[in-house]
Amino acid sequence: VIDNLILGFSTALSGENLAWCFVGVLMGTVIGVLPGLGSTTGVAILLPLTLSLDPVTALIMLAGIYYGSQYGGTITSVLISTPGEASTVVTTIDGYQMARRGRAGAALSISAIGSFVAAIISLALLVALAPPFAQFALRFGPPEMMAVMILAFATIVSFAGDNKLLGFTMAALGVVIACVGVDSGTGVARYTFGQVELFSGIPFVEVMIGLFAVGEVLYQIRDGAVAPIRASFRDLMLTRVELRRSRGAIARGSFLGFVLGCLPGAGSTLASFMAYGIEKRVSKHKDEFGSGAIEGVAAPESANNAAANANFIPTLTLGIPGGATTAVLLGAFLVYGIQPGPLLFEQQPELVWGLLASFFIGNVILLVLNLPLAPVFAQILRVPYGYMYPLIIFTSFVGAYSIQNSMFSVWVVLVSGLVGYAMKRLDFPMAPLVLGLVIGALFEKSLLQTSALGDGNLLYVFMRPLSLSILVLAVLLIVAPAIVSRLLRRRSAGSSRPRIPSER
Amino acid sequence: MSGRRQVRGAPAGELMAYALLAVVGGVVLATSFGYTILFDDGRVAPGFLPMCAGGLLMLLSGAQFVARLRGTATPHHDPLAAVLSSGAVAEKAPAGTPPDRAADVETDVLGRSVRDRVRNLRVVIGATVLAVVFAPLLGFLVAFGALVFFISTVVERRPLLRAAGITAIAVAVVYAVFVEFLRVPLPVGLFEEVF
Repeated sequence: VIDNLILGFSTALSGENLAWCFVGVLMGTVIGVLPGLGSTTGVAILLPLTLSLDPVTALIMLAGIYYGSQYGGTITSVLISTPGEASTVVTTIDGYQMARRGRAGAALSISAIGSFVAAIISLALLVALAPPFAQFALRFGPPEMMAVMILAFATIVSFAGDNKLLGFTMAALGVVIACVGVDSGTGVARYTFGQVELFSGIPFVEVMIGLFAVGEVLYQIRDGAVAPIRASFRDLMLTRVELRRSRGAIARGSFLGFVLGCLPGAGSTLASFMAYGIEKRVSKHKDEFGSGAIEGVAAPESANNAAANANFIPTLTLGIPGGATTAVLLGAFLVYGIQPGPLLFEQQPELVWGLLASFFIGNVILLVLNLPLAPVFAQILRVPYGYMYPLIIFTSFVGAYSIQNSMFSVWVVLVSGLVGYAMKRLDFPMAPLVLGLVIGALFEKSLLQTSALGDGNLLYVFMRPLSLSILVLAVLLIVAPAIVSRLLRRRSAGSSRPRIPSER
Repeated sequence: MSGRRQVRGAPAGELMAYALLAVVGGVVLATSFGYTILFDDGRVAPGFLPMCAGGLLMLLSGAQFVARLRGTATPHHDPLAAVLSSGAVAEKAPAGTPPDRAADVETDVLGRSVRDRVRNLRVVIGATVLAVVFAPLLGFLVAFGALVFFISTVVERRPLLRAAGITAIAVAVVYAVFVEFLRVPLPVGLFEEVF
């Protein structure tokens, strides 16, 4: 590990990589702040810009955008109660209340510190655990990979909202879209209608640009503008009491975020919500939650950053994205001709360790940038959205065109943008759709191989202990929350029922 | 950015969406048999996954369509909704406004009513479609430059000079980054000689 870390740091600290890492985290922060953009959108839009770069450099920059926007997203959550990222949604509860009480700077400071501490803890764990996990994953055959992908679907659906059927519907739609194109197993063209452009399938980076960038712009036009709260340098200072109160929350958020982030498909939103929920239970200041408790900012912010880093474990070691943004990053890997998976650590050590080392460097840059400059970034909010969205539309379409130099990509973005807008209006979850689209082809490949291994018997997946265990975990993820809530309801109903004296 | 989200009652829209998804699922399911579902030795063939995914899509969407019609559907609460609705999004309708008109007079901080914003949305979508259609003919930069100018002047009501400035900067930046730096051969259409 030490040798690999040295290799990684020597790669990440090269002048070019360092410069692009800086550009990535800076752009990420700005993207996180800007209404209408988030990490997924930012990575999708800017992916074409990296096509001329070396893959390591390109991925360092794109990853910088990812975790940079987590920091930036917090600024809008705190200042205008509008999360820059789904993972910073829960920060709005207490962060915005702190801002209204004149503690916007303190909320931004603690989120920057918490995010940094969580990033360092989670990166240390990532560096320690990813290589052995990749070694372990080498034992995964097609049935295990198929089971992991089912687990990813189960995870993403179970946390997509109350209506799990809707989550499954969206995942099925994603898989249906992924079926378009030449089948990799047999070479049969499906649903291409004779169109050459469709032979290689519906290009999912373009779909992401449409869903997340154009769809969001249309949604924002429909939704209207909000007035921001100003933050000044003056109130950035944290009090000693605030720091003391945040310590435990940051530690708990970091570890919880890391554990949940390791689950394929879980993303970082779930981690932030759970960290907030747990903190609300264990905090000595429960009554302050919802009206500006600093723990309510520190815990979810730490958790989402830790989870964002942990998301790279399934992405790098299994080739299965941890969340929506890592799904786009996975697309970037494929665009550069790199297939993430268990062998990546052996075959591309410079890339993997360079990327991991760049996370450390990027987070240091982010802390230095965000602690003193959060109010400066917040000034970006003064740029009216009306100036920005025509430019977002322009760059989205030109970016999509540049991926394949094809007008077909432009049409895909347009159609996906309209679909994305409709999904937002109807509150349909996007993450299951994206996951289905991204891993649909991989899922089919493992399905074909599993059926071949089992001589046509797909139940073979249940005959291998490891794949069976993963499938049991997937079922538990779907079923357990319903059972637990039913038990809790029964228990609370039982305790509130008047006691009837025993006749004996 | 996720944006602000509200739990909306859009039964007609939802019904249409579920119906459309069910039809798509049904078509995929029906056509999957043309690709062979299983080979003779029982191995999975190219039609298997479309059959499963299409069938699942049809069943799930159909079930939710029916549940919506009967009013027994599980409401989908995006976890974001409750949080986001706590943020001040729009000014509420003045007191005394009839409930059925309340949604129409909600204004954002720029004073735009829902009706204004819906109109803007339609105009932007229409203009974007036109820009995409005319991009190969007029050239990408000209078509999308015109789109930026159009949105700035007509939708956002910026003064002509300012809108022209925004457009010029946008086109110049895109030209510098994509054409000069990345060497992307953007369609130039009628203006081939200029570019």
